[in-house]
Amino acid sequence: MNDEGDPIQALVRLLTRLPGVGEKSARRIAYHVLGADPDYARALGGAIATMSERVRRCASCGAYTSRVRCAICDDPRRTAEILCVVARPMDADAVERARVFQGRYHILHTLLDPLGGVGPGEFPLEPLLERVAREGVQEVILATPPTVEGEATALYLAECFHAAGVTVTRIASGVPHGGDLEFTDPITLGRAMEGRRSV
Amino acid sequence: MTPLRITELSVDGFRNLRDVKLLPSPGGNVLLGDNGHGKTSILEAIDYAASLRSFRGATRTQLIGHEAKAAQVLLRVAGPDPAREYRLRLGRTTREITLDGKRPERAVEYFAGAACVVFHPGDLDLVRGPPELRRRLLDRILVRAVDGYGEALKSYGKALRARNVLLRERHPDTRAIQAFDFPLARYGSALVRARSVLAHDLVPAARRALDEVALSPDAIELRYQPRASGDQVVFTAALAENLSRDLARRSTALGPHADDLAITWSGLPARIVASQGQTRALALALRLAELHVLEARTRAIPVLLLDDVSSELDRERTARLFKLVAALGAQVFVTTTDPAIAALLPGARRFTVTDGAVGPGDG
Repeated sequence: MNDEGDPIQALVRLLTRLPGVGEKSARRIAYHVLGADPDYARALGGAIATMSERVRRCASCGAYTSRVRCAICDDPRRTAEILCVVARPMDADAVERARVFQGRYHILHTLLDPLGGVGPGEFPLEPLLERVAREGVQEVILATPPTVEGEATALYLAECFHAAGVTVTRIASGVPHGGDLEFTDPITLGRAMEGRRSV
Repeated sequence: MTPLRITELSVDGFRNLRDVKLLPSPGGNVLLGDNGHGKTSILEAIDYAASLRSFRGATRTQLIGHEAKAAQVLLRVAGPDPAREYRLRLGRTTREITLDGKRPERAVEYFAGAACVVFHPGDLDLVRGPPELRRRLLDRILVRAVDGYGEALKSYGKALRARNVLLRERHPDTRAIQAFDFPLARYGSALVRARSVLAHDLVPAARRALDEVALSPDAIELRYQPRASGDQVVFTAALAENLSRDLARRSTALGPHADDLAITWSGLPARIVASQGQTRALALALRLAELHVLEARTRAIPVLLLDDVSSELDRERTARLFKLVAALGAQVFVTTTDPAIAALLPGARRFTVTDGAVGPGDG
């Protein structure tokens, strides 16, 4: 079958470029939208277009926002002294949901990943260093993920900040709340043991 | 000890195999046919689904048949746990793996559940070839026997490749290079620790196996030669100390990627002193040692895949090996061009392989 100009196939092709969406799910979504109220399809299309036109990165922290600066950076109750550095916007959302952090965020949008084409030359280090100097940050918390690239990025940043005389901490990694030690994977458990502290 | 048993095998689009469906016997299985028709590819398909690596060293795209869109393998494996279903689909750019319909969560669960031991003509290189093949033997055992090893191996490889990319840059950034020292030392030292323990276990297993293949058990010595420490702190310090050398050679010298397992035969390197026949018997002994160690560590007897053993072993050793396999209670798949070899495995189910398809044997 020739699918040139077939609108269903065109949508399916676009959908399969989304993370976690294969050909099958894409078809399911396409048929679902076809079966729903046409207003829904229009609203969906419109919402995607509007989002991509209006949302940009916060000039200060890199979070997605429709304003120049995001709500957290604009909030005078949030302290500028502590800065939590994360890889992705959803990582900041996760820390935010825990409601334990009163400082501000810095979203890198990438990790130091030479295999993925992000070497030290491509890594967005300068804006972060400038921000820390400009805003008088006292402590930088490195909350990059506990993966090879996440750990390397944390170490790289730690070295850069030590040189600049800023206090740097790394979030702990260990056994999840309510987790059973017996069912915790050995790497996580190993880290929890390494990161133990006196009580 | 419960043996692992493949109760059902389906293969399609893998090399030249088309719509192959087998219901193997829990004991012996003989794949008969002329060379080039697909006997070895059946063993390769089984082991690839179980280990996600080709024992013939093929890349993923080489495994997909010329006219096929994708290579598919289904294995049903019974063992100490309820029967499990392994499904593999290799596309030209994709690889989908499921265990009981789900993406496997832990490497050890996937690999241990369908542990196979392969003995094939290329195994002479275990004794004579480069260290990489002996490291692969250690890793093959450890991903099945140690929870977290597969993950650590993958992370180590990633950290190593990243560090080497940075070392090859025109103006290397030492701060970025050293940032990768931490994951490299963490995962690398874990690999060294696991390999050291395994090497220790392998010695008695190899002696037992040598005895089984009628060579003098005392003649063999296996010595693990790590190229870095199993202590993360010492490993890290060694990386720092070696940085200028690494910068000069533009790659990381130290680490488990450069380990070897030295095999000595009567006190001298086996690759030099062992005759052709002894080399074959040694290689087979290493594979049997793999089987014994896996049996002890995973509490299940792996499936044995013997590719064209009669070309590797004389008739007496072949008969001895088959007797041993039967005594162990392992399920075994044997490929051969010679129906007389099939007769050495009494009670075996026979299949004939012709032009990528399988039919019932004539025995």
